[in-house]
Amino acid sequence: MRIANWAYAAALMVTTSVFAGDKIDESREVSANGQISIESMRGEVEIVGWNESRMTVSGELDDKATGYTFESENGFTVFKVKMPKNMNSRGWNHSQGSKLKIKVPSGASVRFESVNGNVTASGISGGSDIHTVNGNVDAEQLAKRVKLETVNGNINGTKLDGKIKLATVNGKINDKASKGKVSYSTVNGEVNAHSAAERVYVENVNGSIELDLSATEELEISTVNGDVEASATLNDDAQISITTVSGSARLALAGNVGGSYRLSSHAGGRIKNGLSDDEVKKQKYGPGRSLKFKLSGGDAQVEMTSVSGSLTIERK
Amino acid sequence: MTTTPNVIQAEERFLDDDELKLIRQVKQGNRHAYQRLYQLHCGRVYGICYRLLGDKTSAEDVVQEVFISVWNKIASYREESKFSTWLHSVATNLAVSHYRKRNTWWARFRSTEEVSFDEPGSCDEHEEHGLDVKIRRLPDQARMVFVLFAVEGFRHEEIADKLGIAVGSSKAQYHRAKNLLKEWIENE
Amino acid sequence: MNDAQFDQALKMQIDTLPKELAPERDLWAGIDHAIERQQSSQRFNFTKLTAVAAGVMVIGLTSWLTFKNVDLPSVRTTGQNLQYVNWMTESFEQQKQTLLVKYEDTPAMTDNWQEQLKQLDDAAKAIKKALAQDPSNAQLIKMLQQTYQQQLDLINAVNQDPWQMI
Repeated sequence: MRIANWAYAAALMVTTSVFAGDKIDESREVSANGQISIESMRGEVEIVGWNESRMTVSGELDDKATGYTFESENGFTVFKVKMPKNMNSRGWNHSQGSKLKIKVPSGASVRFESVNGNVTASGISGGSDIHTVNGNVDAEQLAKRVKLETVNGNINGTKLDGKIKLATVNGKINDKASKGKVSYSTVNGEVNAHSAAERVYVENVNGSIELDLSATEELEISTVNGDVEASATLNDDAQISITTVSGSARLALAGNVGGSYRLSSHAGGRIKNGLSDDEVKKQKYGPGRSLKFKLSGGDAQVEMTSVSGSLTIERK
Repeated sequence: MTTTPNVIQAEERFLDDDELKLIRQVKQGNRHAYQRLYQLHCGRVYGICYRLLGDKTSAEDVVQEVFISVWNKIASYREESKFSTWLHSVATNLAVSHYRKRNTWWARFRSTEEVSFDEPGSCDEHEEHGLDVKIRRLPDQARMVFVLFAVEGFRHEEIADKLGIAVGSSKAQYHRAKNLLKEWIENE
Repeated sequence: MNDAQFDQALKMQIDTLPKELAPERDLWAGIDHAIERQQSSQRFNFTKLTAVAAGVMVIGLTSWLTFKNVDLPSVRTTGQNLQYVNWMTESFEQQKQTLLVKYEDTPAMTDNWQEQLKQLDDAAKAIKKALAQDPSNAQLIKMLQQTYQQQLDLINAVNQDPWQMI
């Protein structure tokens, strides 16, 4: 950080030095709907929204912490656990990290970053941007723009509402009772969602995908080897696209199912039609199969494609 | 420089021709030509950035951004105007933009580095021009305004526009800078 | 000294300020490196580039859902489509190599990413095989692009040094 004016820096940047494993119990008056940035490299953190215009941090700091910053000005608040500069990625140990409980005004928008450690967040309605590398993210009742990301770890969401993105690389995604627009992305991991979101996007490589959707306008699923079990109640003019390479996909529909359907597999995947009496056509010279039909009464567009995985379309 | 104006003009014209050749090569994607162009101009660009921003690390970053940006935009450089004029205006704008971004309260606290500032004596201070040392010590905005107005020759209206402040604020910051400089010079 | 005198003295001092200052280190290397990277990454932003070329909507790991029923323009011949797929694959391979070289020395955040890359690669092979039979299939082309984009995204996602990240 480069601040040219000594006095200004000194006044604002009060860094508190600590001894390792120090307890912390701090409180600041903050804006009711301002921005909050929290950084805690290691350890378990719980972030809870509450009705006060105050932010409190309590618990224990990381054993290796050299201090912390906790300042608020003009609607921006920062809490950061200061760590020695040359921490490397080897030799970390959960038990030495911070254990913090942080209360923030429920109207705030919160940004949280960590490297090793789990984080829980709830009751924040101004937006949440939560990142860790090794650790789980558990979230409840977050609203507006919600982005929960980890690399090695699971993501669990309950009652999220807004524009939601849950992403992990190795880990499962569980989402219950979400609303709005939601995107799930993992590489190795299952996706399990019960959602009222109108727009849903799912992507993974390995791991089963199970969806139960109650108000679908747009649904896009892309997997390589995962098996897909999706059941959706369709809104008007729903658009659905499911692609898989070797995983099987089963789509069960209710609601406004009128529209056009196109299912195709290219290397031997079987196709099963439980929605109409139309027959699956086999390629004359080749392993491909396809199924095309229309149901009256609507403008839905449903497309399912696989290479070798089997495809099933049926009623919910 | 003690040479006569005519010789200076002639030299500039000569340099301009050479430079034009370089620029044409740069437009074709020639990185070697661009390195030559960089060598010819980096001192001035660094001078602008360092004076405006007050610390060498930021200045170095911005210098690189300037030359990367100019490379990307070289197709839009028109040969009728002087290259250095265009280059210096890119430099000024990027330096101001860097200052504006870094000076949001948010940005300052998101930095992971310790509070630090170029300390007197940390970089060849004895070789640095006395006034430069004092300019660096000015509060950020006062310094920006002072350098833009008194060194780079912009008008307060232009400065206000660049920095996103009122014209009155620009004038006030300039006076503040002058008063501080006067105080420091008088107390030397 | 009074104000007028000071103003004059200040102006004199300003006039003697050196216009040029020398940076303490060589900045050219960084500039050159960035320019070079840009030249090679004009092949990257893979999805946008190939999507524009194909008239196909592509969904990547970080982009939002925009579903469109994709039909490749029918003016393309089978030969053109196959050619397009080959070009896209080549383009992706170059980009993948660039990224792998870039991250050669940084430790990855997961230990199974190479295996996952291979799975995506195998998937791409299977899709390409299907495409050979049905070259105008927009869904298959989209799937292929997606496996490519997922590979690039995965390499980027697991290879940033986490301790530098915050």
